[in-house]
Amino acid sequence: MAAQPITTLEALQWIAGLFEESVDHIAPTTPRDAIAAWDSLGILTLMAGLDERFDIRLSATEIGQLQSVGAILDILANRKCLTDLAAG
Amino acid sequence: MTWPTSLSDIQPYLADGIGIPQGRLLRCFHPAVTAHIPDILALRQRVFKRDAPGGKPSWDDARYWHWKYVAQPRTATAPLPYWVFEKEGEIIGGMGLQHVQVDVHGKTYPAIWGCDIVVHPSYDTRGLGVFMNLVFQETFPFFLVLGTNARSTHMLAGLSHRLPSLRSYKKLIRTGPALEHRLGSRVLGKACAVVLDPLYALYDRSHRVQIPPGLTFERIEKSDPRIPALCEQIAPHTRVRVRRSTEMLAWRFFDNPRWHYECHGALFEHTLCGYVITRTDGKGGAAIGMIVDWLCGIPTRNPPRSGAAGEAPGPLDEEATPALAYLHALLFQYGVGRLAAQGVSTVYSHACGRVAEAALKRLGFIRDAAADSPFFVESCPREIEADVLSAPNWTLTHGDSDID
Repeated sequence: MAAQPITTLEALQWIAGLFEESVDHIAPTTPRDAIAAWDSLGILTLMAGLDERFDIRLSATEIGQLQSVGAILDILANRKCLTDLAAG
Repeated sequence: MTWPTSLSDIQPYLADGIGIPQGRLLRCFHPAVTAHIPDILALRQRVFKRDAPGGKPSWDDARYWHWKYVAQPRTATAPLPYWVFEKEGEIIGGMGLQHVQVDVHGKTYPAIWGCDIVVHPSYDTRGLGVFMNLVFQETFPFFLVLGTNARSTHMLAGLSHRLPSLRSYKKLIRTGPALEHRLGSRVLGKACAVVLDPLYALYDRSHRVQIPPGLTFERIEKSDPRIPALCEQIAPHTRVRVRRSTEMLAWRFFDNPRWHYECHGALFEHTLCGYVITRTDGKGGAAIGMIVDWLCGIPTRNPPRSGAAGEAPGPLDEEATPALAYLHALLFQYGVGRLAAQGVSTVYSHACGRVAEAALKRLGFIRDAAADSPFFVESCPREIEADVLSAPNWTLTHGDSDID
């Protein structure tokens, strides 16, 4: 079943929930280092979450590029999973 | 969403993250052989450089690693206690282990401490640390971790049972260095110390514990024949603690290339009833001292058996709490005195255990929560789960931690 696209705001809420952070603390500019749970276990949680919810499997190169919340949004946009943000 | 916490959950994503087919992951992580050692040491150097750019470890890492993993007891009869993760012939991850025995209410169980986890910086935050921990959880039925750094603490909290930390305590011996640091002036610090040190000595005297008649202290050397008897007598009365043995103490403290330790024993009527192990930082005038490890029990006397030649020393009763707290305080006080005589200005100790912590407080040690070490039980046999996962049962010292 195709994943249901969501808004950027909903994506930020989803990312905040994934990393057990307050939504106020999550913005596209938030770097990976600022999120305590974005560690070795956190990246696996993110990958499993993207797979389960959006049917997205990340490549090793994409994982290496994940340095901020914005990079997660870019991946969602590139895979047409965001309704209000086109891929750049 | 919940964390993926089983090997089957994470393997598809780890495979994607590090570019190895899922079916080959488990074969890539295996015990090291001696031919791997140069590559392991090179990986550690890369990780040290990432964590402290421009800095180098203050110890001889090759000598340290050799002591920890080649000279570790049991290594002669078992594979090297260090596992490596290899990708196309390159070591990109590693994790060490220390074989120990844990006494749980009179029974002894083999266990391992996990230590020294490293991941090649190019594969950092890909899930390799999680994978190595989960493999250890599945391979070793009783697997413990103490003293992780901030990079690993969150990950381990998601994978394991977190128990109360090894708690840090400190006690000032001389006020000068602390005042110099706080006031930002050596001259001012020294001047204030001239006034404050005598007052502090008076305050400290009020915390002193009276040494009872018949109790003496003496230096304990490596392989002292009285140590095994002490360990054996205390073990059956221990709730949950890593077993001390002559072999473990000789390796962990006396043969340690990174620090110089001293062991002193407390003798009551010439019978060893406890020991305390101390160390200084060995540099810069030995400003810091540490009470690292200890073991003690209250000597009791069994009624003489019929036909026995005389009274034999009986078991040491760990439940005799007030007396035991008193003996702990005497040992710690002796350790502090030794360190003060060596010129230290502050003594640290790390403890988890009601009796030892009460004794430290009695001597005027104060809590330093910022230096606590997190403690995790990653796996344990089901039959002892209730005992092992109950925090008040544990006795831990800095001697149990990974760092040195």
